[in-house]
Amino acid sequence: MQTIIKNKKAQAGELLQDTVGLVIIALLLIIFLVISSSLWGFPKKELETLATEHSIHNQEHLSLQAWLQKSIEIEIDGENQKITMADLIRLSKINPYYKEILDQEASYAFDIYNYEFETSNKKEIEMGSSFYIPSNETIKVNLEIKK
Amino acid sequence: MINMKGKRAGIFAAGLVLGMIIFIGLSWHSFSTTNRNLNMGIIKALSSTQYKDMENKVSFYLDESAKLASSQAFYEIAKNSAVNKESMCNVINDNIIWNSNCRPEQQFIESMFIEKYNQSFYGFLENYLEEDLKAEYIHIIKEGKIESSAEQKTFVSQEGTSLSTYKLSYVLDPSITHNLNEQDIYLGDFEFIYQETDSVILKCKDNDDVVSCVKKNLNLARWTTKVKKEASYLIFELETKKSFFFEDPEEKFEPVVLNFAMNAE
Repeated sequence: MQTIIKNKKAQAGELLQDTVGLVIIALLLIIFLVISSSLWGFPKKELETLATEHSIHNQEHLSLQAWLQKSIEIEIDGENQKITMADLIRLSKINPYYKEILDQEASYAFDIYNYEFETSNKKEIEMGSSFYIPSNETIKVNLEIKK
Repeated sequence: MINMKGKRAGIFAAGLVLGMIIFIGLSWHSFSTTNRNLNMGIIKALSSTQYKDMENKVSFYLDESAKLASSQAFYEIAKNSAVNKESMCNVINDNIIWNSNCRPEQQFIESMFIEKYNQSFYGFLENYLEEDLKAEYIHIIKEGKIESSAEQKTFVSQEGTSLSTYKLSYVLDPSITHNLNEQDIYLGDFEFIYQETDSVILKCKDNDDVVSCVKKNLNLARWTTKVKKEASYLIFELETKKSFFFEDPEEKFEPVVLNFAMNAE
């Protein structure tokens, strides 16, 4: 009788021991997953931000390039001539009359998307997307989201 | 008997623990490796897009430089009346007299075009920001196009941590081909103008009003013609219908002018 009671107690002890063991293993697995993802995992938010920033930059870059290569017909010395936007930028530097046409064209193309278009002779690291146009003084063209 | 059972249980527990350790270790290793590779892949993709952006900017700048250098070279040829000034050419009122000894020749025009183009093209490259993008070019004129070939440039990026590094090689080909005819530059025009003018003068020289006759009969697709007579010579002032960018000495956007004289008797 005493042996049966002892066996039952031992069985209950073993069950308790197994349960505690399983809980510890489960805890270990959870801790392992948390530590690993924080140590080596690229945080999801950071990845999303990076991808968004990159796709915006790509979009700006391609839009600006396509716009610079776009043809436009304007009146020069009483004759209609086909020139590219890059030519118009160069021309606006020679003759301020064409600056007005350039500003109109740029505003028509970029204002709607809340972009700021700028030309300058400054050679500095750019924000947004930029291209350089050869001229006697290199012209920098920059496209950036309005602040 | 009880001892045997205890030993078995001990061995089983130890095996279980050992199995768990191996499982956790392997999982840890593969998890960290996968993530590291993923991060490196992302960095690599971003870097390659940056190189692609740079390639776009460079090729845009090169194309525009080729366009400007072409119009500058075209202007300089016309300014020199498309002849070799070192050869024996006579002049009347600052106009070079074209004749069989002093006339536009295609071979000379092409070599002069390449010389002036090269000078202007390098001038624009000198102004560009990226020092390591400058290249040595060889230019050839072929079927109305100027082909500028240069050696490829290889850019190598290496980044990473002590655990892993990535190496990205990006090859940029700075060679370009510029279509002169699309820009309305036809180098054959000069020789053609000489031949055409010569034959028109031959046709009109017995006419009472030689100037009107020449004006009426000289039809050039891309040029407008002004003619006047001085002594026995006809003075020609031809102007392109299209404007070109050139520097002399400041930047201009105007039609290119070709002046020359020819004997009308």
